Amino acid sequence: MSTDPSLSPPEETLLLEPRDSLRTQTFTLAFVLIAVSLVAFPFLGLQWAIVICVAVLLLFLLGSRNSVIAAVKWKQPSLQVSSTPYDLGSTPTVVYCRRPKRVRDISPFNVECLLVCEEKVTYRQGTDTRTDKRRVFERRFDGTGEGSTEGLVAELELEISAHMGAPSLDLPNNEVVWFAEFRISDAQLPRDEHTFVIKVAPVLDPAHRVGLQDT
Amino acid sequence: MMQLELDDIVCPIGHHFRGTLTRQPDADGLSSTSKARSVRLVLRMYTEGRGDTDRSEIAGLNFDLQSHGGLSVPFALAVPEGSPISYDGTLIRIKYEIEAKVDLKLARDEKFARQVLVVPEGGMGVYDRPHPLPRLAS
Repeated sequence: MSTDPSLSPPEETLLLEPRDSLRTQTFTLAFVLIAVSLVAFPFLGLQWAIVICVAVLLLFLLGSRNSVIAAVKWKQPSLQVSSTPYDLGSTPTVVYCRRPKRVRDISPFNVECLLVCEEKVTYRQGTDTRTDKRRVFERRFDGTGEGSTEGLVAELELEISAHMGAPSLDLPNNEVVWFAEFRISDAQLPRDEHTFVIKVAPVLDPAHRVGLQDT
Repeated sequence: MMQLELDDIVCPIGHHFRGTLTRQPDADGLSSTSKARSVRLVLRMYTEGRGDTDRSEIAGLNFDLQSHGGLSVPFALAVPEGSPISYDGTLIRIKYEIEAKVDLKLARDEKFARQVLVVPEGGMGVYDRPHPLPRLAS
């Protein structure tokens, strides 16, 4: 989570960077390539080590083709959210923004957002440590965005469930994480997706409190 | 014999569990040779489910017993903001209990615990079970 001063978000908001960005994937790839070459070189020789590294690189490029093409022409997206965590049952509006690296005309585009609440646990079985995840809430929100001086900009109203999922939780072996997966469909932008982690507080939205329910 | 009376077993985040802790004096109440020395009252959160257990003390109070081992005091245990709420999920359950533990001289400590419910801020009167909130009948 960090801020980009060039976009200067309004007060009481912050700009989120996506989780698992292309930068992280590139570091992972570099690590894998070094590990593969260190293992393959002593046993198979230089030629085979190079062949295996090239194969790994091609697989990576094939798998993240859209992300790589998008990263060449577009900067990393950001999500403008409230600086305070969202309440259970609230309906916040978030702003998705992605700037091109060069000035270009931007036509209206479709944006899909999948809001997810996921439970994640770790447990020991013998000497292994295992992880298990389960999505306990999922809802899709669709919208349209427009080109602006900031690039692609789309406003979406989300709905944090009061009936499913739980507030964000971060214990050593038990976690509850809320995140929004954004996908953009546009002729100028390859279809790639980004995930933004958002915080949900253990506070019930006033609309769900006693005496205030919608009957 | 110990008693833990709570004003309410439900408490929202940022509020207090209030009640009275009572321990009957040993023997006739006149003896000054009771083995019981003090009571520690603890609000504890722990997890159940697929993952390994996480456990933490959220709040605690200590009370010295009288020489005959008796006690009757009101208490208030705070549930700080940022604490997890009681939750009954798919892989995770989060539970709370208030435990009173009597420190007995040269003997196994006497324990007494009651399950309680911590609900989101603003959830008083809405929850009668751990989160998630049940859907209201339309």
